[in-house]
Amino acid sequence: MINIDFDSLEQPTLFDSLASDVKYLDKPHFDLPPNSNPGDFLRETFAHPNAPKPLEFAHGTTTLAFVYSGGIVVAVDSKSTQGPYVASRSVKKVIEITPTLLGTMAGGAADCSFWERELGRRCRLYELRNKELISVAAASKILANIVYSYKGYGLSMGTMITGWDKTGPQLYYVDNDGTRLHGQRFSCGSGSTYAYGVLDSGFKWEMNDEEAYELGRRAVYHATHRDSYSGGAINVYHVQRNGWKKISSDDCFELYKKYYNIAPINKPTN
Amino acid sequence: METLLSFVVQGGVLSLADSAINHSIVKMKDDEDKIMEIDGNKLLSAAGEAGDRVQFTEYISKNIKLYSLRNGYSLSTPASANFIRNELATSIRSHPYQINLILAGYDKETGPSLYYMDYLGSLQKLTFACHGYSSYFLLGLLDRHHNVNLTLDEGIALMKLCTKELNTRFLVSGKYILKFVSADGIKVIPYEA
Amino acid sequence: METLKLSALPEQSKQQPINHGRFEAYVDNGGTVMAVAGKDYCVIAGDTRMSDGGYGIQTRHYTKVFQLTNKCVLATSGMQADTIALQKRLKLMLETYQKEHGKPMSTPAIAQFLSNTLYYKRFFPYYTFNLVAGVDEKGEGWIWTYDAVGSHERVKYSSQGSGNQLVIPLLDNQVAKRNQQIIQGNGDVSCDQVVSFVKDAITSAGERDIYTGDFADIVVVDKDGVRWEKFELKLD
Repeated sequence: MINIDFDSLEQPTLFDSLASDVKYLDKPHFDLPPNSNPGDFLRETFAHPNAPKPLEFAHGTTTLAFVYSGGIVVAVDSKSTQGPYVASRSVKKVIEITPTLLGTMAGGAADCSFWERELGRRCRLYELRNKELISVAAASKILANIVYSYKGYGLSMGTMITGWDKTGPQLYYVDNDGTRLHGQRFSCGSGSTYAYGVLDSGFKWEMNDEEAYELGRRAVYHATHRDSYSGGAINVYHVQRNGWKKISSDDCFELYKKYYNIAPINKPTN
Repeated sequence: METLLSFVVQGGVLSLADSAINHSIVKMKDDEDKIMEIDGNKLLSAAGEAGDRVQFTEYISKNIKLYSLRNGYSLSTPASANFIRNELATSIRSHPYQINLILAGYDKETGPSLYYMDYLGSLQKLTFACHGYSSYFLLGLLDRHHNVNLTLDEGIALMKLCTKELNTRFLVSGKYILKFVSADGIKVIPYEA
Repeated sequence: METLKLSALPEQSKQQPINHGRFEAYVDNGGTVMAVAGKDYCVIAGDTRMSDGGYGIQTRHYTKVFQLTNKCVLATSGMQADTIALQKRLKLMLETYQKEHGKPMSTPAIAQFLSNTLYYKRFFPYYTFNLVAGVDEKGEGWIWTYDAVGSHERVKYSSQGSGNQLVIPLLDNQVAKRNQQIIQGNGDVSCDQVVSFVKDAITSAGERDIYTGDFADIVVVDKDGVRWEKFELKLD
């Protein structure tokens, strides 16, 4: 059959440009700033003397994950800050990418949740096309390739991608400059150095699950204690052979009372 | 603060690279392999901007592989060096790969060879090459001690001498990975600095 | 070598750089919006002052609350021009959705959709601070609170805008009963109680924030739809 293209016969109308704009709006796309490099735009804009107060994006902060004999433990805090302002104490920084994959959130909250959601979509498509689960290596590489393609655009994310695939429990670190590392222990965010101190000193390969959860919890707890950008509650997840499981969610202050056995000062005990 | 070091010895080339990944003050990893093996007879050591290293070396190795599949024979070491240089030079004005490279290889016809490249696209055939701050310590040392007739064992001893100097005088110290390319292909040499 | 672009989203090829010399993209027109969700309702308040970014007042009648469906409203403070652009864009897309699906978009879907819409402007953000408030498909009242580029969280109460830092401790204390020494009652409050509480809260913001004042829109969303009420704030 022959298709004849009648497009050239159509008269252009006044509304053509408008119609194409609307069509364009319908398709997801990124607007880019005029006359500026996307990575520098916001900094330059807010450097003007009469610019309004700079946009502060929500930021995430202490996250960690480690591999041990029983799988992978992921522990995170839940505080979100915009500059010095505490935007939330109840953020979910463990992102459930698929029923078998977990990601963590540090850096820009919107960047992490948007792109890990997009990663979840692509992993599901992979699953439907190939009739098998995607490997953690491949999933993390998809994310690394995405953020690498936006290098210099000012994305901010530091994330651990974890899961249990055919090759066993796997842990990858991916960040906004395109780094992708395979490893046994990672921590990310402004409280990460404090968490590393506890994690590295307390880590051993052979642990029972409870010990491992407590190590992750303790490491993040001590980070929240020293780093003002971290806090809220500590969420612990466990990556097991057949998917992840949420283990616990404890308020930092409750943990403080538990670890130090201190009764709150000036607070009626009811 | 990354270190890349390679030199030619009898019948092959030794390539050494540090194995640390550092982010600001944090050591994220200490067993990263920065020496990519290409075609079984070439070693491409790379260091520089995070993210660029893996993206660029994978792009290069896959294209060299593609060349051998299309043509039924592999790109020689000098041809690979010129191909890599050309990729660096064409990308520098639009989306620069900020990585410095050393290519070491062994070809049946011409024997071992070593090429030094930087991210701006310069290319030089040398007998020893070094990238990073460590070159300030090692180039003098290699001028004094290196010659192309060293045996493999003497070469490894010279590598030890180099890393010993780095551990004595250089601010950062850490673990290294050492590889050797020769007529017998690529060998990873267990290395303790 | 071709530029590596693995984005799911098509590149914008028609955009040309415009040389403005000094390009000032944003102004903050101020204002406070807040919302409290009850069991099966939401109360939203937004003042109607629009400032010029400094001490000047451009209008006393700029309403910051925008009805998206009859179960969901959007409350926005920040830059008015961006707010209008965002509202138009959402309205267009929601109408398209209604025509394609034969039903309005559900409130949780709108919440995610707004997040995406804001993120598509990640590299040239809308200078807007948003709240989505409404009832979900089970009839429960919820608030979604956003940053400028689409990070969002589902909560029971929130506020945004220039008076945010004045209002939020009040909400923390009175709605969440957080940081209270003695907690009375079981926390169940009627819609009317919440309405009068929200009026007190926005009045307080108007007292201490120069960008908040004039009037307030008090909006109640429940299963019967959206009800609007005007409320007077100080005009100075």
